[in-house]
Amino acid sequence: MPLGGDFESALDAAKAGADWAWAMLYRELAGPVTGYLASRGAPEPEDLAAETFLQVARNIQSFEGGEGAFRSWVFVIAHRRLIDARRKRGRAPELSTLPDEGLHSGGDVEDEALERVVTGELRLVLEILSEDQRDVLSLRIIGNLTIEETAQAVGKRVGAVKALQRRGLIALREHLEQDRVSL
Amino acid sequence: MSRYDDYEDDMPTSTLSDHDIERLLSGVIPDSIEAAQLVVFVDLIRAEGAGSPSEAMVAQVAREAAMLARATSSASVLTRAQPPRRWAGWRLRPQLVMAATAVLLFSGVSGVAIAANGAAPGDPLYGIDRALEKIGIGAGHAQERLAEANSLLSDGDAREALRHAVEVFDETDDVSEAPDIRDARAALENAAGSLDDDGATSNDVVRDNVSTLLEYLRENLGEQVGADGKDFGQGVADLAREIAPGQGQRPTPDPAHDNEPKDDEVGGPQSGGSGTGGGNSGGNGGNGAPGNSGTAPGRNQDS
Repeated sequence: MPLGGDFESALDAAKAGADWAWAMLYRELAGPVTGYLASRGAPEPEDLAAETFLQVARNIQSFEGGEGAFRSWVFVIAHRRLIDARRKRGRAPELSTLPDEGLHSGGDVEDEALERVVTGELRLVLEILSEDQRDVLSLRIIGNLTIEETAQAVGKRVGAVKALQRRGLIALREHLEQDRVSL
Repeated sequence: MSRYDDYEDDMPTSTLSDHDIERLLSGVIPDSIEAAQLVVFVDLIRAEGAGSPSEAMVAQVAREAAMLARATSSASVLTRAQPPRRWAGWRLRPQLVMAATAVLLFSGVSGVAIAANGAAPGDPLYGIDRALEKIGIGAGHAQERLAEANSLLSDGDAREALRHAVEVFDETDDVSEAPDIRDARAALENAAGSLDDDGATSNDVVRDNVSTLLEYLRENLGEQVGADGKDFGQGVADLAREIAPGQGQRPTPDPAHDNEPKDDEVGGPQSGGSGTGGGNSGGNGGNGAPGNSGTAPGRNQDS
């Protein structure tokens, strides 16, 4: 849920070092950021999300812009942290399980169990996507970034991002038709 | 017809339109059946961001972030109150070389060498430090170059910081001629060369990337360089290319991206895209950066 009119005052207060403002910003963005990092194979997505926000805090004095701009800036930093984490780990990212430690999705236990079975099968289908395709689609969908913002985050050109998302979606659709996945 | 349109011709035949894709990705049911079949996958990916942090985590992060923001707020006030100093030492360099020579001839070296050793760019003794190093006294080591690079970066000069990072490689004699080290050095030089004065002093994205690179150097120098410097060199080169996308590319393709052979060749600069992004507001002006209308983080990396 976007902060809307509260964002500007929260940003000013965050720059001044108000705990409540940082709590508001973190509460708003921690879920998507953690989800993005988890979906891209970050080993400790919650910790990495927290590190992302601490980096945001270090640079907050020079930030100028609206809520959308702030959101995309946070994801740029998160993506960079993810690359660092991958490099330090020295191996390719893995598809994750849904982030469930410390994050509360709510709902009935049986429903959640059933959901996990279904999503587990669907998740296998997502493995056909290349890493770049998943980076782009995750930033577009989870981060809610525009094409231009996504291009900035992944360090590619706008045309390349459009091509990646299109190729990824087409690959998923073709897989659906070939294997007749039951949805 | 744009270069992107050329690329479209190479894509698999599909009725997925840009309009459908934008509706799909922004959570609106698309018009075509083909796109609608993909809703379940988009929802699956979106569900990964639907969690929320525990209140304990919120409180902890908020407390630490607020503390950092207060600290950087104080630091930025102090920085603004001080006159620029980063070039002072370089402008005086010829005189300082002469002064260092005179010191050597008439006063002995130890006191000055000790005082000058470790001086950062911009410090009055920095020229003496480098002059003494050139004749083998108090020779600078990789870590000293790195410290100087960090000092330059904290002054906001990412370009000079990168140039100092290049010099780090001159200090790693055992592997300096290894191919990957040479590639890394070239990538760093390309990255430094890609930054103009404005980009070096006002772009937070660049500074963040340079900071990451310096941190990587600090963590890996002397420990993980290895016999041939392969991993180290490739790591540095990758980080350097993040600073200057499109420059310093390796001549050989990355096998991991073989299935996306033309993605980086598509279109011109980022501003050349058609901008069909959906979803949030963005508000980036014309430079495609996340975020800022002025001097703020996220300005175009291609500065």
